[in-house]
Amino acid sequence: MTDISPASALTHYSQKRPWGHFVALLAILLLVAASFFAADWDVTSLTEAQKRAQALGRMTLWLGAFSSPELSGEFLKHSWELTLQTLSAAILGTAIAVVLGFLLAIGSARSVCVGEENAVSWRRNFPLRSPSAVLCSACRLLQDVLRAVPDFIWAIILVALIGLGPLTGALALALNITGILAKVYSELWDSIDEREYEQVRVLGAGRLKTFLYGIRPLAARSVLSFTLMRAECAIRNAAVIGAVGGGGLGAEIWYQVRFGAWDKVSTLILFTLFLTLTVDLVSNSIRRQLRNDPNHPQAVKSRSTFATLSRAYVSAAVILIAFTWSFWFMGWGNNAAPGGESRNYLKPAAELVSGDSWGNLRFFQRLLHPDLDLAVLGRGDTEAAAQFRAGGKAVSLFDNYGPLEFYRPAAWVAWEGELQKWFVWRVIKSSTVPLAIAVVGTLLGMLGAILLTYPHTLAFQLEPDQFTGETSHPLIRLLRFIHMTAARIVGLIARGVPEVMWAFLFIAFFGPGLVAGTIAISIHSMGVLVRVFSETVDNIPYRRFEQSFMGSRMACFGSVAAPISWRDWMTYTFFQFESNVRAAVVLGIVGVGGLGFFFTFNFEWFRFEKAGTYLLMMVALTITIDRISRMLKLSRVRR
Amino acid sequence: MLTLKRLTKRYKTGDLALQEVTLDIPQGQVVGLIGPSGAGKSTLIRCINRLVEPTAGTVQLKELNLTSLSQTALRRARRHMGMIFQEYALVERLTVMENVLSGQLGYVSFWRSLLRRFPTPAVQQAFAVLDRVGLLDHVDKRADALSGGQRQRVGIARALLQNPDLLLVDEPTASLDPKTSRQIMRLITEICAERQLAAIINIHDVALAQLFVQRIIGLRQGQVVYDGAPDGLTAEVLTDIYGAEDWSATIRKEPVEEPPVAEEEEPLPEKKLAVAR
Repeated sequence: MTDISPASALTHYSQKRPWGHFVALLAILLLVAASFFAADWDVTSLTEAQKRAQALGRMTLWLGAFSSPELSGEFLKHSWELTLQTLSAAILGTAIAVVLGFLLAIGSARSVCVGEENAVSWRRNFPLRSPSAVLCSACRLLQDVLRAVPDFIWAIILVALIGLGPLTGALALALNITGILAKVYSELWDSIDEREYEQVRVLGAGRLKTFLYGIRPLAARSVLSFTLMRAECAIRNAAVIGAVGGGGLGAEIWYQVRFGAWDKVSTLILFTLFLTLTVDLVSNSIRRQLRNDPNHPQAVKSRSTFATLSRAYVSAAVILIAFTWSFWFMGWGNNAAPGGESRNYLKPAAELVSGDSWGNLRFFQRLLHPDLDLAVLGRGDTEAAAQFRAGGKAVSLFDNYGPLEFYRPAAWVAWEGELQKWFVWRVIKSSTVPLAIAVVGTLLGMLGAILLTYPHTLAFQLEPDQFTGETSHPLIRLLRFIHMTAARIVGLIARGVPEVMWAFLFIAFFGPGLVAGTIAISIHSMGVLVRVFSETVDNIPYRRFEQSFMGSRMACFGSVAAPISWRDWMTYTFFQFESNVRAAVVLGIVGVGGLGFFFTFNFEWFRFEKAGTYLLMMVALTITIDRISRMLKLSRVRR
Repeated sequence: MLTLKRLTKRYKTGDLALQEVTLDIPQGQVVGLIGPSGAGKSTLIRCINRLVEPTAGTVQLKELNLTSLSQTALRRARRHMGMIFQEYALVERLTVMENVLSGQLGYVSFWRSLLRRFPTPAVQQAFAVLDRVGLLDHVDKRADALSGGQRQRVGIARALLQNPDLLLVDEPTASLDPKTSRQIMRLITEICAERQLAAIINIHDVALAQLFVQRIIGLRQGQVVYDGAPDGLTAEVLTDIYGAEDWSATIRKEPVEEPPVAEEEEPLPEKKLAVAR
C-alpha cells in the first residue's frame, strides 16, 4: 500500500464531485418548471379577492351541508352493511391479488426466474438471451399493464362486462393490485444479495428450491409488510371505487350525491373514515410486530413446537375466516337498500364462467385496436389521407419551418400547431396533466412529510434521553407526547381519507382543475410518506445518534437521522410518485381533467378506439417511468 | 483430485482478485489458505464451485471440468462440493434438523422440498451426522437458540449431508472464541480424515492453521506466494505473504503434540437456556 500524500488526497476529492446529486436536483427543478408550464394552473381562487370570497362561500356551504349527518337507526344499519360490503370486496380483491401477484412475481423476478447465468456485458440485459429470460420479460410486461391501468379504469371496463356491483369493484382492485404486488415482490426478491443465499446455491438445488429455501424466507417480512400496506390501500380504494360502479359505500355516496341528500352522504363519509382509519390502526399494530426494532429488541424466544405451530395456524385460520366471510357476505349477506331486497353479487362471476358475459367482449376488441390516426400523417388508408390533405387537416410538419430553423421560437409554435392536428399527439399532451399533478404533488407531499417526521418519531419525542443523556422535566415529556400524538393524528387522517375525497373537498374550493388535484395528492402522499419516513428513523439504532450528543435534538435529527435515512426516503418517495401518477389519472375521472377524463369520456360515448389510445398511453406512461427508474436504480435493485 | 489451472478472476471494477492460480490437491488432503484481507482467498474457493464466475483458467474435480459446465450440469456438480461459512448461513427460523436436511436439497424433488418431506434414508443419515458432530440433543431446537460453536456444527453437518467429495471452508472460526475455534478445526480435520475428503480452509489465524492442516498455501494479491508444509512458515515467508511485521509470536517454534482433546463445549449460560426451550 502506498501512502496517499496530502496533495494527491486533495485531487482525489476534487475529482470525486457528487455530480449525480447536482444532476438529480437539476432534473427535479426542470420537471417542476415543466409541470408549471405544461399545464394550466388556476390559483385565482387564492389571489383574487372576489373569487376568494366565492370559493369560501362554496366551501362554507359545502361544509354546512355535511354538518348534520343523518343518524336514523335504519340508515345507520344500512351504512354499516355497506361498510361490511366494502370490506368484503377489499378482502376478496386483495386475496386474489396476493395469490396471483405472488405467482406472477416468481416469473418476473430475475433472481428467481432466470437465476444464475453466464451472460456478460450487453447480453446480461438482452431479453431474448434464454427462454427463461423471455418468460421474465413477458411477466414484467403483463405486470406493467395490470399496474398501469388504475383500478377505477379496470372497474369501468368490468362494469361493461359483468355489470355493477361489489364484485366488479373487487375484481378491479384485484387486477390492479396483482400488478402492483408482483412488481413489489419481484423487486424485493431481486434486491436480496446473491451472497446472502449462497448456502442454498452451493447445494446444487434448482431455481425454485433456491427461491423456497433462500430468497423467500429472507424477504418474508418485507413482503408481508408491503402486503399489509397494499391491503390498507385496497380498502381505501374499495370505499370510493363504487363511484364508477364498484358497489359498496362509494356507490351509495354517488347515488345520494345525485339526489343532493347531503345528510346521508355525510353519514356515509363518516362510515368510510371509520373503516379506513380502523384498518390503518390495525395494520400498523401488525406491522409493528413484524418490524425488527433495534432499540426495543424482542427477546429471542424459542417457543415450544406446539406454540410455534399454533401461531402459524392461528394466523392462517384468521386469514381463511376473513376470506370465507368476505366470499359469503358478497353472495349472501344483507346488502339491501332500505325497502329493497338483497342480491347475490357473486352471480355475475358465474356468468363470467358460463360465457354469457364474454359476448360483451365484442366491444373490447375495438378497445384493443387503438386509434393511431395515421391517415393524418399520410400513412395507412390512402383515400382518407388524401381527404385530410385536401381539407388542410393533415400534419405537414416542415411546410412553414424546416428542421434547421429550430432556433426560432416561432418554428416550435408552428410545429406544435401542426402536431395538434394529430390525435395521438393530443393524447400524449393529455398525459401532462397527471404527470404535472404527480410531480408537484409528490414533491410537496415529501417536503411536508420530512417536516412532520420530526414530531412523528418515537426516537425524538419520547426517547431522546436515551441518546442525548438529558433528563427532561415530566411536563416537557408530556408536551413532547402531545406533539407526537398530534403529528400521528395528522398523518393518520391525511392518509386515511382517500385521495378522491380530498380532491372533492378541494374542488369545492378551487373549482375542478389541477390545483385541487395536486393538493389532494400532496396531502395524501404526506400522510403515507410520514409513516414510512419516521419508521426509517425509528429503525436507526440509538447508538448511531450518540455522536451528536452535544447538539440539540433538532441538530441530531438534521445531521444524523436525516442523512442516514435519506436514501430510503428517496426510494419511498419514488414509489409514491409512481402510484401518484396513477392516482392522478383517477382524479382526472372525477373532474381534475387530463388523461383519465378523456378516457372515460370516450369510453362512455362508445368511442372505444379512441379510448384504447388513451389506455395505451397510460400503459406507456407507467412503463416509461418504470424503465427509467430501473435504469437509474431508483428502486434500489442491485442486480 | 482437485486441479486448478491458471485460474484468473477479474471483477467488473477491474480488480484482479486471482492471477493464474495453479494448484493440485490430492484426495484426503486438508489445505489451509492464508493471506491478508483482499488477497483473493474467498474468491478462490468461490471460483471452485462457481459462486463467482472465473474469468479464465480451469477447475477440474476428478474427471469433471467444472468451468465448462452448463448451469444444469453445474448444479449437479455442486452437490459434490460441501461448503461451510463464516457466519454459518443457517435459516434461523428453522430447526437444527431442517437446516441439516436442507443439505439434501440438491437430491430431492421439487414437491418434497416444497412440503419439506425428506426421504427416510436422508433423515437417518442426518441423525448419524448430527451424532457425529455432537448435536444429537439439539435436533429440535431452532437454529437461533444455539451458540456460535453449535451453529457452526450444524453448518458442518449440513455440508456432510451432501455426501461431498470436497469441502470448501470459508473462515470457519472467525466469529468464534479460541477454544471453540480449536474444537471446530479439530472436528473438520477429523471428519476429513475419516471420509478421505479433500478440504480447502480459508483461515486468518496462522497458528491455528499450523496446528491442524497438512499443507499451507499463501496468497498475496491473487498470486500463490507460498505452497508447502505448515512448518515451512518462517518469518521471511510470512513477511512475503502479509508484509513486514514481527512474526516471532505467531510462528510455532517446534512441532508440538496436538493438545489433549477437550470435552464437550461448555453449555449455554443458565439464562439463555431458560428462554431457549
